[in-house]
Amino acid sequence: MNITVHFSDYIVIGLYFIGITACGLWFGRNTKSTHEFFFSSQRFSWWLVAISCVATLVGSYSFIIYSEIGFQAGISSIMCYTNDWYIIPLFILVWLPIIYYSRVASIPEYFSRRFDEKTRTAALCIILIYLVGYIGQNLYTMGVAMRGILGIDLYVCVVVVAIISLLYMYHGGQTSVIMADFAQGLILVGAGFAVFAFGLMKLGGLEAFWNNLPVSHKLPFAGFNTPVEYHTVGVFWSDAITGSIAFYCMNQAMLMRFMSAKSVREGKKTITIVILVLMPIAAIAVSNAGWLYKAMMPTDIGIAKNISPKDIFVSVANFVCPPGVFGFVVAALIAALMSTVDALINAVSAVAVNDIWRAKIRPGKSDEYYLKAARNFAIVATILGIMLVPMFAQFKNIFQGFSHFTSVVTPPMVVVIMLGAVWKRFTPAAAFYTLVLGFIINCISLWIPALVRPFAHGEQGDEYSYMRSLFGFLASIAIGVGITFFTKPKEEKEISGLVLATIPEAQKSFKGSEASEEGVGITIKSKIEISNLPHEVISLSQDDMQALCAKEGDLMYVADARKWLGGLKSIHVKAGKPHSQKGVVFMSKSTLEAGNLILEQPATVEKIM
Amino acid sequence: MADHWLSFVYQYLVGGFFFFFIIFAAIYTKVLVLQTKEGKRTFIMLFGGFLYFFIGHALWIYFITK
Repeated sequence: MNITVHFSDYIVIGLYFIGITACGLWFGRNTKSTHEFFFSSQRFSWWLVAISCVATLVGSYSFIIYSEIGFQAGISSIMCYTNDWYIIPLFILVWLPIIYYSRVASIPEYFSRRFDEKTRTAALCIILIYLVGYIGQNLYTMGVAMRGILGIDLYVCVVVVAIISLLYMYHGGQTSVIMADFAQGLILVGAGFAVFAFGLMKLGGLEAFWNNLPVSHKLPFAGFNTPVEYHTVGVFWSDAITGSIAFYCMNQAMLMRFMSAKSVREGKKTITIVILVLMPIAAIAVSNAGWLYKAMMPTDIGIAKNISPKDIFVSVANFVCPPGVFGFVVAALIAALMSTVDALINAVSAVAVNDIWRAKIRPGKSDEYYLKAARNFAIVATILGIMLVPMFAQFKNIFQGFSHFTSVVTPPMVVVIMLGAVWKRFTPAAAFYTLVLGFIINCISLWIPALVRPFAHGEQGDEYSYMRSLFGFLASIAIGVGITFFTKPKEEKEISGLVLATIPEAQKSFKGSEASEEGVGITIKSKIEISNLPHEVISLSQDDMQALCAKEGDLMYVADARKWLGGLKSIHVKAGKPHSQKGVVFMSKSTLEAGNLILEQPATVEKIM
Repeated sequence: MADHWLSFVYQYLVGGFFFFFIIFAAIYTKVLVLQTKEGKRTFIMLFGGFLYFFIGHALWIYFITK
């Protein structure tokens, strides 16, 4: 790969590193508890969570892989970013309310409460393999790209970038992650579109680009079951169904991101905007270099015709972008890695602290102690991710390699989450054996591919990197449903709030009394005044209470009125006894400080539940 | 059936099964109550999103292959 890097590019890359590290460190400076470190005190607005989500969803591998697929398969490379809607009802109607209202801190904790301790342990192992594997895969693709661009050894790149993302995450936890990811989300989408714009200019405009693409490259879907590297039925089962459920429901990093939203309603708004608007935009940003290269093939504009598929993104970006802009693109590539890896490191740390350290090894210690442990586990997670890099280096096609990995690990978890959250009758024994036997059967299918063949929908070859997901999914459902009918379910009161049918009970327990949606979404502006009210209790005027349809004891949310802060200065409180001064909200000094609110700044108040 | 239409039909049939099954389960368990403002809003958003992708993909294939 012949890449020209100018001095101005190095300056842009350097500025990016300094800027993003400073951003993460600055916003995370108030992190003093594990609740803040893992969940940012559940206060952010949908747009902040949504854009940071995109940065987490788009990993460094995305630019490399989707440019490769974009060249080979065309615009259908966006399939993986436009096929998540099928599982949205599961997330919006079932999983998000259960997790949020039940105040579950980690996925294994849900397994412990919904099933039992041994199922929690099994889930813990699978989730840690998944998360750490995901860190390793991101680091590897990043290293491949940086080696090609800067000529530095793959492992040096991996270690340096991993340390920088660890640095701010270690300091500020989830708040640093969200704020840094927000900035990185904008950078990576901006850089993707910059490549597209400069590429179109080189090609002579949109029309020339479109006319140079063959018809097969203009369709939204790849072939049904061919080619083996990328086809619709394979992507559907491995990505749209098992991959998406795993990503949104089993991925601790995503759970923590949605738990940092100020309410379930805000979380629903976030996921809707992410999937309907932001993901298709991100798909264009990460894939277009492959489309451009395909469109450049019949021309003689001077780009090499024999670029290796893994190098397409970097080579095309280097060819079309002027000096300085290319540095911005390289920064975006690093941003894509860091924004994914920081969230994953935070997630591994949360699981390790909540489900291993606090639950089993050192229970009953102070929150300060667990915060320190969380930071130490973040270091361990980073080291483990780096150690997995050589494994991913063995696959010819990175996407296939990761699909191979996830198709073995995720189906049993996905099935247990689905059945556990939807079906009251699903038993702890069935959940445990689904996880264990499902995983074992999937592993066996690696040695005996004939097991997968009946479900392969004609996928060629013996690897079944994609269709193993369907095999694992169906095998796990058969195990789970079969064992359920021969084992005893938990009492209904034990799973209250943890299954679809009992979500209203979870809402009630979250609020502490009967929940009502009347007035939710209405916001009023108020002036803050200090009084001697208890901590996290506010008092509004009778008129304001009426305008919000609020009663004493309702859950409220007070935020700095400057909307662009996205909830950075805000707090969840309870409504206390009303007073008579319209437009004034009374609260204690400790409440003001806990929400980082400013006395002189007007605040908005709304009812959460 | 052409390969691209087969991909389209398969994805929306099987994906649609997952999609509507969960919505049906939520309505059946009264977690999604279509008579309330919030319930109606959620359903319209979900169904609207499904149609948005369905129609978008169908028109895309049609115009490219016609």
